[in-house]
Amino acid sequence: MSIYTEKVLEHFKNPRNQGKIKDYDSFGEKGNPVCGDVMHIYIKVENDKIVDIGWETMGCAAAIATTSMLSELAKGKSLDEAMKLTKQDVSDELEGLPPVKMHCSNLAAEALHEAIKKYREKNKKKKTK
Amino acid sequence: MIYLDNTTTTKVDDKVLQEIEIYQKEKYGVAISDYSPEFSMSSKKVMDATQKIISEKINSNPDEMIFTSGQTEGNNYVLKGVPKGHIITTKIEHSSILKTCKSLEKQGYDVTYLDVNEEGNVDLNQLKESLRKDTVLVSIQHANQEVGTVQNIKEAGKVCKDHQALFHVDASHSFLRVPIDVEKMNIDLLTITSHLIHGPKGIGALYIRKPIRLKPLIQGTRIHNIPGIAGFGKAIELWKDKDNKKMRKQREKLIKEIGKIPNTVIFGSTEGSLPDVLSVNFKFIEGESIVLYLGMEDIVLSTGSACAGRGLKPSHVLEAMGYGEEDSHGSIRIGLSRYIENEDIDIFLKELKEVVNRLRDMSPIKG
Repeated sequence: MSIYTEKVLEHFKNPRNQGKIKDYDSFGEKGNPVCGDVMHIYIKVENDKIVDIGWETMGCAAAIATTSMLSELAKGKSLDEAMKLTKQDVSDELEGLPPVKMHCSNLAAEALHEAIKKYREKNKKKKTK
Repeated sequence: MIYLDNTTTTKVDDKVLQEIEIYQKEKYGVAISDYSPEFSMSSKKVMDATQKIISEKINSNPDEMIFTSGQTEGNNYVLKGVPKGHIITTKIEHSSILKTCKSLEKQGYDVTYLDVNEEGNVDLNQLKESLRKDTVLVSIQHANQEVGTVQNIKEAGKVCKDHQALFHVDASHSFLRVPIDVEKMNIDLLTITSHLIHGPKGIGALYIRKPIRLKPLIQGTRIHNIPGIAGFGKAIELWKDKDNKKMRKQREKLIKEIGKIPNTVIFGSTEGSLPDVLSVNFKFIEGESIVLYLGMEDIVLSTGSACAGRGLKPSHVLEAMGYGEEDSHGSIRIGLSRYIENEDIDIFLKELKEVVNRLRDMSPIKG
């Protein structure tokens, strides 16, 4: 029996939206190689909505599955809605994560928030110009 | 299934199983004295036979050993059986040595943990310098359970003999794979186990040179694990030197082929190594993911990395060899056996390359 739920393993086996998107508008990153988990999230935004999302992850099955799930949850959402997504949402959608993986590997939501913040800052500057 | 986790444990040979069954179903009596019923004397015979075959392999007398439940009990027996004093061991031992030493330290024992170099070899000069008047025991493993490095036990034995310190060797991972001679190597105590040689789990032996006496770990009449002892003896009998040669050839092929994958580190010694263990690190990816993806292709092996089962710490062996956390994340341990055919190695290599490529494609770190 695996320590992971069926859903985690399914996302690990068939990750959604994997890869860097070519013409992304913003990106966010979390983690570091010393911990063993690094996540990059790329977003494309139109009318304040995430129309495309891609990611790159180095990490364990939980790291890969949580990034994959987060990308599914975020795609099509408005930036405001996406900012409300939490690591708990990701874990719940995956029907749970082993406790030790909850904080070290479940970083995708934070990476997404960073991407959105960067996007907003960039746009603010554009508008003020 | 391609089982490459033989450093964790091995499959029991069918002939060993048959032997065990005889002592479970037919010859199940246990002789507790010379006056026990004749029916139960078969237990004594099989114990003698297993002691004899072990003694032939390690060059001891048959009556210089006791049966244990395996590596952990054997190692505990030694450490807790010597008088209180100074103990010398290494930083890369099995947990049954390191955890027991930690607990002995709390009881007032003094323990020195020897360093190893980047290939996992113990510094024998440091051993010489660490010996003291009150050193009661030196305990050094014969070969490492993760990276396969074989220690220069003969030299270490000489140093201990010159200093008149008891010398214990944990040979659990090297038994039958690398020659051991308790006489030539000046070994006083030697731990071996059955489950790593296609024998049953829960049985092992501890060689105790006469007239050394250890404080017993448990007391009272013990009903020995006779089926286990019978199976252990059979497993030793079945292990052939050609198995070692076959595994070593496969290991060499693995080193050559895996070495072609970019950004890969092969751990351990380039010269003195076990024939059947290989530890490898693939940079920019995680060992657990490699192991899980390979598992989906019916290939079984272990990670040597941080995120699986050991909390988040890297392996103490790699750490002692000077590798950082970053180096140990993407590591796997391949353990061969006589049941692995050359075709299995080809399939494994093909799948491994695919999995490493897939995970590197996913990774944001490209090197």
